[in-house]
Amino acid sequence: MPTEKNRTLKLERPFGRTLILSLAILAGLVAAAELLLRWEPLQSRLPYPSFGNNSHQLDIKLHLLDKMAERDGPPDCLFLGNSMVQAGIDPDAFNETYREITGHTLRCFNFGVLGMAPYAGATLIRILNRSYSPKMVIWGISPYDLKTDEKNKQLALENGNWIRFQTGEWNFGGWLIDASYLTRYYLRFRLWLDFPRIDRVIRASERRWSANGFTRGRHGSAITDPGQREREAKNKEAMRDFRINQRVLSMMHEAFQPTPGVTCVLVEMPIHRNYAAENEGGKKNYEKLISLIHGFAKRKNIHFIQSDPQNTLSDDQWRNSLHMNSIGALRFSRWLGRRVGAAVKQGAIPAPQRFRPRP
Amino acid sequence: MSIQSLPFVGFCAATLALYYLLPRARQNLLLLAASYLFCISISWRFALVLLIMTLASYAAGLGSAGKKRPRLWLGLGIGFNLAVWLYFKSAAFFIPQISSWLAGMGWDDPGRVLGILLPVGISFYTLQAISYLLECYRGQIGTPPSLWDFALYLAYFPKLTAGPIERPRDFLMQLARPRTVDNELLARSFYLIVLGLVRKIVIADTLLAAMPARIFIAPADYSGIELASWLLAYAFGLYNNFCGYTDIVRGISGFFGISLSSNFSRPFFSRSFGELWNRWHSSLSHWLRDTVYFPLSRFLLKRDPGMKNRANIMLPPLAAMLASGLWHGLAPRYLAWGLVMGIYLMAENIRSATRPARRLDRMPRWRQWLSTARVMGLTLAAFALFSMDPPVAGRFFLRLFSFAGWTLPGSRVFLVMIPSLWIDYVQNRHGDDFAWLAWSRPARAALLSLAVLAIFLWSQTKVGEPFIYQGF
Repeated sequence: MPTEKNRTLKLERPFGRTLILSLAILAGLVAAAELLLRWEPLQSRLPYPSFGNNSHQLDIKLHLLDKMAERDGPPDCLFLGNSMVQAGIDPDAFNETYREITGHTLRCFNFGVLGMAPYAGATLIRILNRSYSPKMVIWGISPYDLKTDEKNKQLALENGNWIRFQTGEWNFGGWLIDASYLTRYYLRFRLWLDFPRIDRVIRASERRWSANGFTRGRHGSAITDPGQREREAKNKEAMRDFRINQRVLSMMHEAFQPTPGVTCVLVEMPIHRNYAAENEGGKKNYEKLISLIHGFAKRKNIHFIQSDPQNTLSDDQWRNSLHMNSIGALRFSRWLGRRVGAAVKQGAIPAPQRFRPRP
Repeated sequence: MSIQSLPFVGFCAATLALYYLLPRARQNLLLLAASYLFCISISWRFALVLLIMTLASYAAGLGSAGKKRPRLWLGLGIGFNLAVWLYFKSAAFFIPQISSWLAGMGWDDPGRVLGILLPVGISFYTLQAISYLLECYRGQIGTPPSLWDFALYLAYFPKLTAGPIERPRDFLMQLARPRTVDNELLARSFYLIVLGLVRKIVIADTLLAAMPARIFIAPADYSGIELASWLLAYAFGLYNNFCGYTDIVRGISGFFGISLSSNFSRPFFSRSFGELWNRWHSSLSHWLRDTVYFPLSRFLLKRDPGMKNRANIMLPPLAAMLASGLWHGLAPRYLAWGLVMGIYLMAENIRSATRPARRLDRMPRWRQWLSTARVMGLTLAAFALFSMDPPVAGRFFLRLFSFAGWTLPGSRVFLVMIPSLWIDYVQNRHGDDFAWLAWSRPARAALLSLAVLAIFLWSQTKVGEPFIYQGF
């Protein structure tokens, strides 16, 4: 040990006062930022916060749902699924026909997220039930979701800290995201740093987003557009070699757990007949897949509504083979509202509890 | 172990704790052991190369300082160091070419067989070894240092990977005398580390990560304004990357009571190229001045001592900058960059030889700013040469001055440059790297909080950009 005279480190008291003061300022800054970011007028001027998932659309949906719940109360009904649901079910149009049949109105939110895997919907039901306790979940699945395709990367949710926290696996990161707005905005800032163009992408899609989560598809149709025929022909060809993705199917079975108090309705999201009806292989595949979805619904005791696109939608109501345009979405949503309403009226599915009388 | 990693922080903390506990006589040995451990953590082969060069240079140094054939020892020492450096440097340059040639002939994975890596920091410690030999020869080092001190001079871990290139006298003198770390030095060192992290993580990483991958490969795909903006961003990115690194290692070294050269002194405020090279990577500039410029100039002046000795006006700056280019790498781009920089300096020398010299700080303010803009513009042009091969650089300049397209890069590129300019402005205005330490305590604390917050916000993004000069 060095003697006092021989010592290298010679500190005189007081020391570290600037450091302590700066730590106090830092703590104050963090607290002030947390409070400020909870302030609605500021939030409306800022980009959507992030929950640290690998989908900015999921972040936006969570944020919009949060805002809707704050504004109008928790939703009665949620639509879950991928972009087909996102652009295919208009909650207002659905509600309109549902009310005509049942005499009751529902507060609905479209939680369709681009590229979401069908089994992720099952995870989301559990997560959203914790915060919003919806009475009914309408889960949209199409035969296309069960297709084997390495390039067709679907959004899996199980890796995110927040998702794991929400599904019961406690972790500090997930807890922090759940509790702190500052953390959510910080994650959004990180997203901006890593993907500088994210703002432009979000702003472009934001214009078509409604407060109820529905994304209005563009008018016009690629099906009837001669310039898009080549692409559509490729889609058609893909359906001919259709094979079932067993992994997706088994994960769907694994992920779905009945949630007490939540009525789940499985809806087949329509795809254009180009995929299913025009070639023999496609038709066979389609029937096989529908029977698989049907079997899944039966096993899990879920009410299944099969769509009938040929009779419901014409070519000019499709944006492309997989997505309806705004006219198609309006028509399909009304049809779905009627079907769900009828099922409730017939007692095939329990009536959601949070009904309000017709205004 | 990168100096920006958590293991390195732990390594420094452990070394520092031991360092403060040990008596002074043992501290240098501890630092030497820690430095070799640090080198081994990167590769034991690199440590072996360093050890061999240390032993050879020490022996040659003893010979150069002695009375028997000192010139021969000096030549042998410098020759050995240069040969080892050239071997590794040329291997780094030629191996990929030979490798692709062998692969073309059907050789299976030739890269593995020919895998010769450039030992980390070799370009820096080679120059220091040469400096040491020259100082021994010139008798500028009184008593030769112990082998341990000399080994520490070359291997000292804060400066091992990318300098600064220290003068042997100054560094060895610090090793020989007792060191004290008091409140002020601790505050300064901490301040330097924070400043370095802001420069590296907040400014440099953001700028360099935002650069389009093909900007220096296919300049024709971008508008002239985009090219100019990205070139500016690259210059700021490179500067803050290296200056940030230097600040961090100076800060770390400060905790050990050893002072390292500052290397950068607000280079973008330079009003002449001579001034620029005193402000940008000044430890290399000083080495080039001491080892190439002055000896060559003295040699030429011996032949013609006149003030208008043309060879003396033109050759030393050209030779020094070409040597600088060569030191950066054996690629045409570095030589082209060195040549252009040499020409700039040469032009300045010719101008000052033909006109009466005027002190830069006595010029009117507007002329000073104009000179700064000129130096900055021409330096940026040289940066373009530095970052791409000459044919691509040619296409880059053609596109740059074609004025085609008006697309601008995102605003954040320019926003990130503001803190860099502000830091430099404050330092330049006060002529002091530590200008903020004169602020009141609350102001300092607020600034520190903001800096720490910025470092935290930016450091969490993804794997940071490497320290560029560690690759030379």
